[in-house]
Amino acid sequence: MSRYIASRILQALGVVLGVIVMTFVIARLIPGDPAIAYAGPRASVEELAAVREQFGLDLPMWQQFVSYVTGVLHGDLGISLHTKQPVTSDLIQVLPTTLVLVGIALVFAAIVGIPLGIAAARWHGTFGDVAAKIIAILMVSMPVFWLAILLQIVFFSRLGWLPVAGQYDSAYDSISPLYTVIGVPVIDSLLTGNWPVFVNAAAHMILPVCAIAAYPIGAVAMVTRGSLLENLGEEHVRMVRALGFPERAVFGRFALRPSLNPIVSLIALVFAYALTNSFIVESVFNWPGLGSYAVRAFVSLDIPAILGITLIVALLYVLLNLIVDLAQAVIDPRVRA
Amino acid sequence: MSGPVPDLAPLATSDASIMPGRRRSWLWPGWGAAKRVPLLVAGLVLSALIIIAGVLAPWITPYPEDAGAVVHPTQALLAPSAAHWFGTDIVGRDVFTRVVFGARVSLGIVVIVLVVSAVVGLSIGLAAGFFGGWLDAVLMRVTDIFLAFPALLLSIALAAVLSPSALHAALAIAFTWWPWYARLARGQAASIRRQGYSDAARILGASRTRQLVRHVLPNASTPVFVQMSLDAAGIILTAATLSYLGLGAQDPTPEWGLMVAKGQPLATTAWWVITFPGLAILVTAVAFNFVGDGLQSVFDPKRGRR
Repeated sequence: MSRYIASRILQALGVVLGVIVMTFVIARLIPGDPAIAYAGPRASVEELAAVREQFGLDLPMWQQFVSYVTGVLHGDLGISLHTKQPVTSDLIQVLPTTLVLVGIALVFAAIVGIPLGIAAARWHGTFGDVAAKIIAILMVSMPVFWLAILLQIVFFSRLGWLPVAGQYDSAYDSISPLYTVIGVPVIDSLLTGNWPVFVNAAAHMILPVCAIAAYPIGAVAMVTRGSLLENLGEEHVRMVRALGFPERAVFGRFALRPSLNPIVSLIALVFAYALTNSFIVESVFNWPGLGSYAVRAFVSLDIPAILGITLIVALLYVLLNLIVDLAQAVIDPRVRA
Repeated sequence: MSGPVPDLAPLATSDASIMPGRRRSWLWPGWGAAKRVPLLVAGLVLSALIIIAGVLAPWITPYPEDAGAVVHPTQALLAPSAAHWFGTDIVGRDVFTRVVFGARVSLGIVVIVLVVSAVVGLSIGLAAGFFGGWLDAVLMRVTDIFLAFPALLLSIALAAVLSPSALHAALAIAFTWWPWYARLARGQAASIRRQGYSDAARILGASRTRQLVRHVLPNASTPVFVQMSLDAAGIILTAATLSYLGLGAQDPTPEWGLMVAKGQPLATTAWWVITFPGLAILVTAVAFNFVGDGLQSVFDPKRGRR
């Protein structure tokens, strides 16, 4: 077991190193001169030389690479061209609210998707099964930016039920001021017992969470259904059926447990999808998180920020994959072999 | 011993030639199975309609010139009517015409991404699985690094640093898509290499190229085709997302994601400007997903259950 853990961690470290190399390569593949991008098109030759020296662009490639890697290892991702702040501090500021948003969306997706998949497998081959499958495919086929805009039009413009953008109404700052704990209004208000703001912030989350959860709901439902059907064909389940156990017990006690493993392994993939989809959803809903920051960086060609975002998301993804693999090794001894 | 009841499942999937009495269509041996998978048939019909509409776009649309950079200021933002089924956009172009022409752009991107990533992925994966050893180790570690990035993120980052165009968007997507094919092909090649017929070919003195082309490639192709059909929907969505962000096709190209982005500021008053292009993306992705899912349950019944 400890040998498996050690080799898996080593492998993840190797991938992390590769990811760092890759971001460096992408940065150097960019056509155009980064010094001009920073100093502006009207900069003089001397100014350009000064910028090159400041950022080490005049050094040989391998030295630039070494300084890039040491920078990354020290948490230095350079200065954002857009905010003029260190990318690292920008990321620390925007990451928590996005992780909360994506986390809630994934929990919501599990609550809806897993029962949907179980129901489809339970009534396999019926009209309900086909309907569940069509719903799941609709969910994974949904262009998320379009869904986000439609949700806004229907629930804000037409019905007026839910707020259109932002994390909470700043009007509450005078009635019931919010104290910052981790910088995420919905969590901060909950921790400080600020109910008016909590209710308002929670209402602001509903539409973005629904937009982000669409793909995960479909994916989780399809995998749950497929995995359950596969296990229902296994001999131990067929035997339990033959022994006359009620369907509820066949599902709940014997088929569902081994079906959970593929669902656990789906977590990392679905997280990656939800996180990148949150980029688009956040910019539609003007949510001040990693996504809005990222879209601004991508559109304004803010290279240090783009690389920082790419790196941090890839690192999160590698870390989550590692956790999932280790968790599976604990749940299912066959994985360790 | 696995149990008192012998498992008959392998027989069910074996070759038709050893099962006399079950006639199969010469046109497409999978037809019988397809009839049992209604969603597959629905998906195939829908996909065919979309492809035909895209190909015939100049002849079946009422205002083919609206696919380009024309402006009709007097007809801006007309609601859907008999003359303009899907209404008109902010410069007065017929939305129906542009949605139909949009199929060409999206399908073109799908073809480019699938061909590039399948060719690159198959070459790398087959080489790794067939030759094994250090080549396998190196190629697969490189593949792992590509897979460490969420695909959409890497293609957005790449498309952002390239100059925005539909072709660059397609290449950026292909750049993130090939590792899945490499992994799939490697697994296939490695397992085929251990099969009896592969040994036989080797013992009979077949050259490595011949083994690879005659034995490994044909047997690895079915799962690759199934994977391609499953991927087509994802590529449609990724390409639309890139152009929605302004990192793909540019105006006046009739691209669905771009049309939604352009219509977004007017969405509350002129709902038709964003609704129909978005529906086109959804319907196309659903059609391709039906096909992919159906093909998977026909060719790989254990993984993709009906």
